[in-house]
Amino acid sequence: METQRHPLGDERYPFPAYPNGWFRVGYSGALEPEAVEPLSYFGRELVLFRTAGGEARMFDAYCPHLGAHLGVGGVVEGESIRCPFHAWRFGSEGSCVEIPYASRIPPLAKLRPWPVVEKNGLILAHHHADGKPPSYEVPEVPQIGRSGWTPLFIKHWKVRARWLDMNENCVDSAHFKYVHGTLTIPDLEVDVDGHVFRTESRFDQKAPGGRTVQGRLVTTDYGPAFQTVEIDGIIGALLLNTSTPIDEDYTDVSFAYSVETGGDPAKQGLAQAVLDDLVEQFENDLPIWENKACWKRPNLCEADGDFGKYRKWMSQFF
Amino acid sequence: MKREFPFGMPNGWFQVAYSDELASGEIKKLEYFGMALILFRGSDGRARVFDAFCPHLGAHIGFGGSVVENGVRCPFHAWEFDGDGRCARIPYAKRIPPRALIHAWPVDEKNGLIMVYYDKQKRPPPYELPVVPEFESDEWSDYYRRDWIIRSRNQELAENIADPVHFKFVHRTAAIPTAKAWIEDHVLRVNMDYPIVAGEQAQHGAIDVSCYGFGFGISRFTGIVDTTVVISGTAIDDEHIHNRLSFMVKKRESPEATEGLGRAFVSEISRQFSEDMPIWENKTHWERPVLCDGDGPISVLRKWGQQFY
Repeated sequence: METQRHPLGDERYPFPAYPNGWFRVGYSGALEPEAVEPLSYFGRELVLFRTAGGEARMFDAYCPHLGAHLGVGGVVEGESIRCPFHAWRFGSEGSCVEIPYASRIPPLAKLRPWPVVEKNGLILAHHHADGKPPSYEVPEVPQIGRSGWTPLFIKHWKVRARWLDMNENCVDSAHFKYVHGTLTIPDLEVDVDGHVFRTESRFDQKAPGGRTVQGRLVTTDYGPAFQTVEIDGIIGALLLNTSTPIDEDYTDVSFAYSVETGGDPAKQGLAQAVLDDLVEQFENDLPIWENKACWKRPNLCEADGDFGKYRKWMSQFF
Repeated sequence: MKREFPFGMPNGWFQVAYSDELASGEIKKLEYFGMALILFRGSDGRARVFDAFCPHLGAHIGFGGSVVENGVRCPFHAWEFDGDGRCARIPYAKRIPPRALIHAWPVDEKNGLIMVYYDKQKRPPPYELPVVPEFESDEWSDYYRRDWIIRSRNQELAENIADPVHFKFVHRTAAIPTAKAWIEDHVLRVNMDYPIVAGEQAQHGAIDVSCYGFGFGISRFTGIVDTTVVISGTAIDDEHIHNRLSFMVKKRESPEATEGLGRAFVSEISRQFSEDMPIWENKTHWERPVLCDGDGPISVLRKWGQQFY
């Protein structure tokens, strides 16, 4: 896929590409024991692996010896990972624990480890520009894995935009009507609590069949890159939205969808239609996100949602 | 993701073609050193390399240009340049502008190869390439050729030679070879000694390498069989290299035996290349690598390499 820079280039964004916080770097089910995966996030090369004992770990990718990429050809041995170039072995904290052909391990032989947790079927890593430890935790999302809710259906996009463009959506009441086709511009309530930003929107929408129903959307952001969207209306739905910066221009966005069918097979068709619709809605947002500028001081009108509150909350992460 | 490399492309002699790829009167387009170039053979039989773009209005002479005597004619307005790159004739003008010059790169055609001297500041070559005696000799085969385009740089491919440890872990040799490296001005010499398990006998093989800058190396393998490889890696741009290997084996009792040996040798080295490539193509270059007491003479190679940047 050819990547093309946004016309505003380096001038596009008045805020940094890599905020501090917990970010999805993988899916628990997709990383088997002893698997090794190269990743490109935060403008860096990384290596994600699972130890024989089942722990997920992530290091900076380049071996401190002669620079080989551990994600390409690296091998897990027990709780450590071995470089394919000269077989230096690195333990769980990133320190070199073995060099098969040397008598002494140089003290600088270290790989930088990233804090990693596994929750909600996701592997999350903590990024901090100054290397500080995490100041918050990501919650357990109750709908995931609960009976009556469909297993997570995951979609990925590589989006030419940064996190703020996309996540700001949650306070953007007017766009629900003009981009997503709700019948009314939602009423919006906003609640801020430390690293958590919660919105509630109520609106009218058209159900399949033509009748008008009330819809309700609750978004909860836990830090800059982990958002749950709970929808009531035609059928209960959950979106788990995690976005991870790839580099200065691109973000890896994943939406994980689940729908509440209550285990009722008659509702499968409806569930699928709702999922298809939700995916389509993301694709309605996409061309706007990929091409927009990001104003430091947007010119808002009195009917716009509370962008100010969102941006003030966002600033704690950088 | 783009990998930073602090030095840019090294200066030196680099292969741009085999002699037998360029007939008299033929003109070819090249893309090396991040530049568009043309390669042609004039009526005096000499191979020449010029910048591709005509100084007049910028046409690429490789597309539709032709060889005229020892130089070329541009297809756009028929300006003719001589063997030194000076404009010798403009069919429709009275006066030739003094700045009507194409840069002519130094070329040395030797050992069946067409070599170009690349210098970032376009200075002339401070040394000559050696003759490879095996190429001239009737006791040795003709070249068996293989080439690769690798997302890497001269520095990385060269460091391989001073890295005996990686033979064990990347190429799975039985033991780590012992290696010595030393500098003779622009030449780096490396000697590697390693055990070969051939049937039941423990034997020793040796590899003697001479690198004349980053772009021309001769590796001689002795032990079980005598084989020689001429290696030339030429930067395409600052992220890719075109690596050519020209293999020769000492002739055996029959042409079939020689052919069999040649193919086996090519196959073995090619296999090793395919093991090195994922590392070369994904690694970064540390200006300050963390070396250990068992490592080979990589520091000697790096010291030698500095003169070419």
